[in-house]
Amino acid sequence: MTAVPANAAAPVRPRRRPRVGARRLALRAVVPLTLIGLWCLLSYGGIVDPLYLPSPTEMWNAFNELRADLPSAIATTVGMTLTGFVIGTALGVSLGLLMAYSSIARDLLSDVLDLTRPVPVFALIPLFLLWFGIGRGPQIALIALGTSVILGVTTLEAIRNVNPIHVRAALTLGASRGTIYRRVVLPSIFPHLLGAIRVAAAASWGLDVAAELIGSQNGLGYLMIVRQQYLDTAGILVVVVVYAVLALALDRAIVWLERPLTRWTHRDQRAGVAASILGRA
Amino acid sequence: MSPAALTITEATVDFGAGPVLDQVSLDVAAGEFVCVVGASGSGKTTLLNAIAGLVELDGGTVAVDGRRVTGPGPDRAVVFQDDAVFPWLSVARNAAFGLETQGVGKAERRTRVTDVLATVGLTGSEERWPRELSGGMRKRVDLARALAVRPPVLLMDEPYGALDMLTKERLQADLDRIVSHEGMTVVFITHDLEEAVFLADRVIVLASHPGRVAAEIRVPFARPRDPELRLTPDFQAVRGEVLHHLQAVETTA
Repeated sequence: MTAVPANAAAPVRPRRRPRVGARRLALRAVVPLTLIGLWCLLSYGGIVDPLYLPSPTEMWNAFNELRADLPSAIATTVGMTLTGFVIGTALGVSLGLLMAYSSIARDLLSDVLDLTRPVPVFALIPLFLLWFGIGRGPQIALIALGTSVILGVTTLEAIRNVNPIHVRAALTLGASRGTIYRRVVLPSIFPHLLGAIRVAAAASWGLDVAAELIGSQNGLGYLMIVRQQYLDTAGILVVVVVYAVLALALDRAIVWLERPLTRWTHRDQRAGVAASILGRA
Repeated sequence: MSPAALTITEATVDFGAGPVLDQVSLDVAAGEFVCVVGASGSGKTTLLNAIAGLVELDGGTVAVDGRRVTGPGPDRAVVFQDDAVFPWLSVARNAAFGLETQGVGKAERRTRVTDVLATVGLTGSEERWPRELSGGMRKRVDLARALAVRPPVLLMDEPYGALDMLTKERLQADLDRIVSHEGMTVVFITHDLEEAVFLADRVIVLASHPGRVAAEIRVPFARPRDPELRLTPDFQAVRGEVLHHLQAVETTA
């Protein structure tokens, strides 16, 4: 067979190597299809009690039952998670930048941060309840705290890894400290921060579930507790799926938003020996 | 920009394990091109960093046109050995960096960037990302960024050390042409004697442990220099003289 590219006239850049498309697609479908098949077999076949594993039909019914409650629950949860995530991200990055910039801030904060960083945020839930009571405020605070720790640590670490040659070059070109932070440090650390921001975004949904479990009157987590009291496993799973969709959507949104800002890091040389070993084909 | 004279007086640098530079004194005339050669460990790079203001002196002074150097500044732009191009800025934005920090206006910036990119041979690559460039082209970006601020003194630390021979010779010829045209003071660190003799008005040989000036050799060739100059007996004679001094220094060390 002759491999003639469709746009043979145009200069063809070696982008992704077009493997045999159908074969790859088939390979990628194997695991999901097997899982779905297994699920159907176990649930419809009556092998597993629906209390533990409801069938697709039961989930669809549960979804229809929850339909009326979902919009307001989603609105509450998304509002709370995003608020906590944004506050926590801003706080964490600012704290990291501040500690890198000022030795006073570093002396004041670094020991406290080092000591408190390994403390699991979830362990603070009873304290939060005691101190701040029940309500949106403490829930948002919990999410913000969890995300800010992730970003504070990453920011500081990323700044430590800034290539000194770039800082020296900026210095010899007459850049002030402030300019270096704005024009050299920030762009240098941005790609690293991005990874941390995605991790923090994913974590913020988990923090939200925990926050809602400590007492809320609305939201997806609350809905989940209610369904649990009715032993409605299908309902719980529906909420889990909603969480998954929301988390995926936020992750995609972050990736989409950062694309224009990290164009300088994107590599065209995806094909090649290294890519095939690193699984980047 | 007019070239400035550089005066190094008894410069001493000690990082804690004995002096790296021991009372090095060196006068570079305005518009002179000086190459500093020496074995690794002779403090070549430390000397350059001291002039740049990136390393603090433990004794002695560095002065540009009589003004004492206290820190880094755009009057002594540096082209480093390592790739120092900002990967997050386009070629043109890289070249404009020093002009922006100096508060040069937008219109002026644009003309100077256009000019300097033409000077180093990067016209047409303005909007490319550094990752899209070859090593030689990235060195041109480094040079353009330094030249854009019109530094009275240009410092270069083995800038072409990592390049292949042909690219290196092309960049050397370009640098010779630029320097002949702009007439700036240059201190150029290298361990490549041919490079030193081809570029310099004067070659300084540093002795190592501790670094000190062991010899200086005048290079009498007129500028701009023809790459073929390297093949002439006169050129090889000067190169031999530098080599001779370097060997003498290394055997006594």
